[in-house]
Amino acid sequence: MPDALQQASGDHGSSTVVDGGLRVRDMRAWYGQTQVLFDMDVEVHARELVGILGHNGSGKSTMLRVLSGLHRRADYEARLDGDDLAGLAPNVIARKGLVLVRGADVFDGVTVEEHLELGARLGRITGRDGWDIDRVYAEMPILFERRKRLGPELSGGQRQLLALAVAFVSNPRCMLLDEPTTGLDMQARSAVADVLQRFCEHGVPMLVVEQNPSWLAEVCSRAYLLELGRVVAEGEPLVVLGEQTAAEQEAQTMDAP
Amino acid sequence: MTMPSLQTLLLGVFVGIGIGCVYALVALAFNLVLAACGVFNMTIGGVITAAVIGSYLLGTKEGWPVLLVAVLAVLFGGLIGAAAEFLAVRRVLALRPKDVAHDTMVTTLGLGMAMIALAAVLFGSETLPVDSYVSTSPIVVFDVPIRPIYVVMPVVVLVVVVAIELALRFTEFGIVTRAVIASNEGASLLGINVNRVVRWSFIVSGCIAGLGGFLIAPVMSASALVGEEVMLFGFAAIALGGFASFRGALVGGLIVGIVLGVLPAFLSEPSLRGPLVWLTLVIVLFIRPAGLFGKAGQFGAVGVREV
Repeated sequence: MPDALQQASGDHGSSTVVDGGLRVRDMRAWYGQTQVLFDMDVEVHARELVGILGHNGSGKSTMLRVLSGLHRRADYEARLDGDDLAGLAPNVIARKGLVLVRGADVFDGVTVEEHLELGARLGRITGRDGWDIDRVYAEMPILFERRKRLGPELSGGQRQLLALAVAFVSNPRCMLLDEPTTGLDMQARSAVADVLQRFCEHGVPMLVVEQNPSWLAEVCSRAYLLELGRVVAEGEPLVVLGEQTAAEQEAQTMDAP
Repeated sequence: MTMPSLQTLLLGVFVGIGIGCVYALVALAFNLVLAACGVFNMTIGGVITAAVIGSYLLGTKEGWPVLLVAVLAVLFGGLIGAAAEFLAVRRVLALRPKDVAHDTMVTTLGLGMAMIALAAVLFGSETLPVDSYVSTSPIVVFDVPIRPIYVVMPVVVLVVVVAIELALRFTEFGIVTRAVIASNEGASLLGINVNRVVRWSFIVSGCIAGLGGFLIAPVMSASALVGEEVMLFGFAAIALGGFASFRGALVGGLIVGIVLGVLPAFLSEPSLRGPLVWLTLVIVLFIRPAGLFGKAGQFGAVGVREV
């Protein structure tokens, strides 16, 4: 890594230290009349990468949609380092430094470089510095190679990487990640894990929803297990995973004649 | 049907390109708003009526300078665009964010029709000629005498289209706008104020429609109903070219214009022009239901995305 970059990363560590993390209390949410989330309490501390496990329909993605302001039929408390985020519009929440990263949000008709400029623009609004576009290009050379390409011209892995990079250059105070390894091969998955862990070191708390339990166990220090919109377990990812497997086995035995 | 001479045909093509450019402008006004938020801005007809009648009242009758009349038409259009967003769209979006396309089509159409009705009350049912804003002595190209206005229209439209394209491509607001066009939800997650971009799309749409009305006024004559006619052909242009597509608006507008310009050379009955344009539209839509440059599922913008 060139000296200038090392310098930049050194500066970064001190400039974006986050004291508090994200605290969510009593989150309830509805689709129409149907309640889908029940009194969920979730906490992510600074420098922590926390996983959310659960089957389809357990409420993982809904939770991220509520937190980022996209789903409004909800009642909850959410504080990011003391800032109240509950009930705000998505663009206001983003400007407060909470970003939701989804590979699907790579835009048609916008180049890789322009995506990064949009991320940097958000960073200028929040007034936080640290990562910039050059840093992204140094750490993710594939994005430099593809910088003039449009969103749809990227592979699935490149899209995930770009979505992450856009979030990084906005220098968020907290990141929510919705299935960052979907559609990726082994190599790309470990690349994503690697870059996430490095960014987390800067003190940015992260909440990761993921279908792939072994990946999550490798990356996260702690995890929550969701079932039908409730938090049913919390702790070391492998322990939580064990509980999930045990519960499933139990369910299977019960189903058996 | 009689076979026209080459000259007549060429004249038709030149005239068609001229008015086709204005239809392209109207189509662009539609598609800008459609792309930004999936709403049909039906106040465009009212803006065009106002611009044409304004050109008659201020330009022809009062003799105000041409440029001043043009600027007023553009500003008035922008004002109506902002009003349309505020009165007919923002509240509907807030109340029923899912069914925007249908509800706002009714609310904006209502606002446009109110403008046209007001124009009819104030202006009466007369049809009065509007003076040309450039010399009327023809320029001869390939032995074809062309009124200069048919040269001015494409040039002005070209300048506007290039300016919009450059703004979208190279300014930060352009990138922001393209992000909103691609996904309202994704854009809001990047801290973009989608409502603000939508508001500007309405204002620019109104400005463009006002300019279109001013440009086409001397060709159409002033009446309360002129805006609806021009808007319908602009609508045909986006259906042909593709809903929410920029390139589609330009190509669709030119096709509609050329069909309208060339047809009189073949027809003994000029009133058949309109139906034949719509027939062309039906044929194109049979072959490509999304229009020439539209993506499948974009019709009515419901499928552009879940707004």
